[in-house]
Parts: sequence; C-alpha cells; structure tokens
Amino acid sequence: MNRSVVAAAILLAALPVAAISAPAPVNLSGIWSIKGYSPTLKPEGGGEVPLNRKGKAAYDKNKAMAAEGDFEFDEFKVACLPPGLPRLMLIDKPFEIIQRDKTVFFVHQENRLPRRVYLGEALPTDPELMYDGYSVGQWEGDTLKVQSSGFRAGTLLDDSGLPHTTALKVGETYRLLDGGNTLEARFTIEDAGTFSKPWTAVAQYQKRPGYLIPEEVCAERLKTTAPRNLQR
Amino acid sequence: MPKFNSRRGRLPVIAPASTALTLILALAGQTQAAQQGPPNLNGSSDPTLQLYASRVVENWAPEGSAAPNPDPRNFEGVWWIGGYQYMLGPGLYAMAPLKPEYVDLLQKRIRQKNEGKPEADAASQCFPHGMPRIMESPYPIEIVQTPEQVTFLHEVAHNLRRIYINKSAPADWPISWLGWSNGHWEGDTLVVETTRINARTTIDDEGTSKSTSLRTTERYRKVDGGKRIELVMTIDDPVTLEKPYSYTRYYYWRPDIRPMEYVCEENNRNAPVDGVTVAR
Repeated sequence: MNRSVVAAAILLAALPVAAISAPAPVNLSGIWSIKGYSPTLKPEGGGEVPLNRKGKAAYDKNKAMAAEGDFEFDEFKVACLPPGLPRLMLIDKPFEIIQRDKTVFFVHQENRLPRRVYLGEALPTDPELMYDGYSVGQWEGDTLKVQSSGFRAGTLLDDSGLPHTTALKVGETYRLLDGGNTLEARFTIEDAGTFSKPWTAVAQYQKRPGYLIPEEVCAERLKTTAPRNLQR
Repeated sequence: MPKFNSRRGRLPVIAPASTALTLILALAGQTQAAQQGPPNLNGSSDPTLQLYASRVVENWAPEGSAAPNPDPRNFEGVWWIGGYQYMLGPGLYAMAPLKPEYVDLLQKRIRQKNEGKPEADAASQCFPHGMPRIMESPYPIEIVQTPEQVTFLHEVAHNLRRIYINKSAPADWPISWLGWSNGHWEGDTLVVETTRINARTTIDDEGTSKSTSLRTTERYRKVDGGKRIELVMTIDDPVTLEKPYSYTRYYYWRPDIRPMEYVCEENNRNAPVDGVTVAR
C-alpha cells in the first residue's frame, strides 16, 4: 500500500459513513431524445412479443379500437394520464436526466412528468400503485440498473396499445455509448398476466446539448379535463 | 425502503405542528376562525366580499428526522410550506395594491365565488397554477440543485420550475404559465427573477389580476439552522398594480416526505364544463 492510499484511508476513516459511498462512475445528466422513435416496442433481436392468450386478446382489442379511431383504451392519449413504463421512456420528446447521489431524476418534456429512481434501496413490498410505478436503482460498473414495480392497471407499454397487468415488473439498464453522446436503455418486461416469458427491448437516446425544454401542458391539448360522466 | 411519512389516504393539506403548544394555538385559532369566519375584503361590512379562510401554521419535520445540509447554499431536498393563504397581498388578508379597475374585478370574482359560481380557474383545468401562486401551494416541493440549475419539482400537479443560474431567456422564448426564471447568488441568498409569465391565471385564488408584464423577484435563504427556507417574494406588475409589493413565506425542511404521484387529470371533478365549475 503506497503512502497516498494510506493517507486516503485515514482521511476516509475520519469522514461520516454516508460520505464514503462511492461516486457514480458516469454521469447520465443532460437532455436526451429517443433515436428512431417507433410506436411499437419490439423485442431485442427480432421476433414476436411473447404474448400469452389473455395478453394477445387484450392487445388485439386495443388495436381493433385504434383502427376504428377509438382511443378510449389509451388514457394517456385521451385524458393526459401518466403513460406508465416503459412507454414514458419511449415517447418522441426530449427528457432531462439530473443525476444526484441518492436519486436519479428523469424530467420529461411531455406534460412535465417527473420520475425518480431512488438509489441503494429495495423495492417496497406493499407500494401504493402508481401510473409510473415505483423505481429503485443501483450502479453496476458504468451501468445504472433500475427495477420498477407497483404499476396501476390501465397504462400501456407502448404507443401501439401493448397492455399489461398489475403484475408488471420493468427492469432497465442505462449506459453511455459513443463517447457519452448516446444513452442506451435495455428494458426487461416481465408480466405473467400478459406474456408467456420475460422479454427485452432496447432504445437509444441522442444527447441534446443546449436544448432548453419548454413548458408543455398536456391538458391544453384536450377539449376538457372534466370527467367523462360530467361532460356535455 | 426507508421509512417515509406516507400520507396515504389522507388529504395532504397541512402537516401537524411539531409541538403541543403550537398545535393548541393552531386549534384555538381554528375555533376562533370557525366562529367568526374569515374577514371581508379590506375590512368591508359587505358579507358578499368574504374572503377564503387562510391559515399560517408551523410545519416542522417530526422529531428525529435527518438534519438539513449544513451548507447554506445547498437547498436540495423536500420542503413544505407552513399554511396556505388564498389571497397573496402584502399581509394576511391584505389586498395587493391593485389599480382601481382591478379592485373592481377582484370584488366581482369574490362575489361570484360567494354565490357558489367561481370563475373557471386554470388550476381546476389541470393547467399550471402560474406565478406566484404555485409557490403558495400547500404541497411539498422537491428541490434538485446543480451549479447551473435549481429545479423545483412541485408535488401538486407535477408543476415544474427550472431556475437557470445566470442565464437569460432566449429572445424567442415563449410566454408560459410559470415563466422563465433566471437565478443568481447574493451571498447565501438565491435571487430568482421570473418573467414571461402568461396572464391565464390570477396572482392568487381570490382573483388578484396580473398581466404578462408581471415580474416576480424571489429571495431564498436558509434560516433556523437550515430547517426552513425563507422566501421574500416581490411582485411587480405595472399593468395591474399601483406599485410593487412583497410578502414572506417559510418552507420547512421535510426529509420524512417523499413526493407522491399527483394526477390532476384523473377524474378531475373540479374541471369546468361549459365554462362553469361543476364540482360536487
């Protein structure tokens, strides 16, 4: 052990425990937008989404409604409700990552939606169900590994109407490529109520240096935000 | 998952005061308010000008909560205002120095409210609350701070403010609900100038008018050993006001709180239908 390492060890020993947690190996902070937007989340490496019988029936129903121009099944589109995961990460609009020691914040241009990934914590065993679920993460080398669960029913996995149940668990890994100009996300989708097996999909994001996110208010796109039964 | 104050299933209005004494005082105040009701505008005897009942309470974190960051220029974390004032004037129940035509408009709005027919309001349509009103919201605010940007993540309707440090708005930056905020440090005080605010909301819930010439100046500093942030808000609007005015608010350090997902658009029973609020 050389002298500087010993000196560092003495210095570290003098610090409170919380201050010793290792700094994140990379910084994902910045503004990003998806490359090659697609309304349909496609499995990594090709092939079909492994829908089970119930999942296929629900997806076919959504697609049939969409073909008729009826998007009542899509409350993100018709009522500005949060889109859920991974759909929020697949929208064709920029988002900002603000990486801090204990939390990684994703702040989306779309309806100013925030998302928090709490680092170094386990998922709650009895979460209050939320549209965008509850997310925890940790650094594994230069990769941010995120796990999310606690999703409400009714959101969709992508803009094409891919459904899920409340059993949904979403895994995400984030890493920088291309000298930090590209962010890659790999999603693992697990929902025994909808799919015959877990499956993965990949998205990439382009860094947008200098881009300023405008204030975007989804409700301004709607004719009314009143509940359907009160609309005249 | 660490233990957080869950707030599940209860109305997030005002957190309990930390000491029995302040709680008793607050309750005593409530009882008095319930008996007398809030005052009328400018002390008028006209009951059709009665104001909403406002409250100023303490909102300290529970005993044993984590200590605030000792750096006076580090505002990161969750903060929660003490109380809620429906009229944002230079003091409790005090009217802003409005020009006469806007006093008339305020009176009209208060009368409409007291008739049970409030003017359709932006926040009731899930639009942002506007400035300065968003800073009065009785919901927690999470502050995320980097040297270039201080971000306010409001729980209420996921209102979002980015305060750019030493950065003016681009010439073509659009007018918006919460405007463009340019911040700078004066010692340990964060000074925030906000402009380019639309006039689709009013300054407060009672209906104090503003125009797109509105400029707010906020001075934030940590006080009480970092357990509170003091805000001195100065409001200037040469169109609706006779002169600028200021008021002070306190935001309490609340490490026990985690902001919740707040979805205004879900079954929004306050939303106006055909221009009339039909809340039941």
